[in-house]
Amino acid sequence: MQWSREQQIFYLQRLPWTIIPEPGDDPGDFVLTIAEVPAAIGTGTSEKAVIADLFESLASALASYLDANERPPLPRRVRLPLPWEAGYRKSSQRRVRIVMSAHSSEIEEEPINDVLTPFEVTSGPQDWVPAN
Amino acid sequence: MGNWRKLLKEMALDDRPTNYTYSDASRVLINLGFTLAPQRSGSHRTWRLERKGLPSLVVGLVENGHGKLKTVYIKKMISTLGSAGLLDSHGGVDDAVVA
Repeated sequence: MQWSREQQIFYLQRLPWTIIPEPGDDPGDFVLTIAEVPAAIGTGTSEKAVIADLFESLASALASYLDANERPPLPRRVRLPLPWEAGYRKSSQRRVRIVMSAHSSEIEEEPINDVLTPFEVTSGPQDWVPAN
Repeated sequence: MGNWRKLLKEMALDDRPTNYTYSDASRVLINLGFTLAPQRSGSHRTWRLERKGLPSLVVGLVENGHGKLKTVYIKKMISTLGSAGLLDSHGGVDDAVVA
């Protein structure tokens, strides 16, 4: 399968990045950064806005690595090689859904028996369930 | 501000760098040899410095016209330059590392 640049970015954006809240300049400012990709910085005046901005910034940084044929820095837990790279092995992926709340967490595992497509990635902002 | 080295030093020594624009930051990066990566949609801009035998250095900024950048952008830029050994402890630049 041939992965387009947009599909690669879509896949990478949904990896388990280490997202760090930072102090804002003014009260009400939200700032998020990604430890593995210092160039990824999100700012905004609401949670929704700062998350959207962070992932737009991450996409821009990831694209710069991919355009230069360089593997971007990745979270530690990510298995290599990446799905579009030489040597990628099928049938070694697991899909894991984690729901976090203030009182409990549950993990559902669902084996995937074939290669991941860009639209079968593990999780993304749309899957986050905030703690109550 | 005319001298990019002076500008960089000020940024590096500023605990709360609130007074810098996208233009200021990009001028410093250009003088250090960074190039602007092809733009995607939106205002995020990515600057890259290719290094022989080492991963590229990548700095993220936001192009917001003549407005001041949020401090986090300057702080991250300085942190990236510092961790790559481009800055000395006083925020100065070694001529040997400047393209």
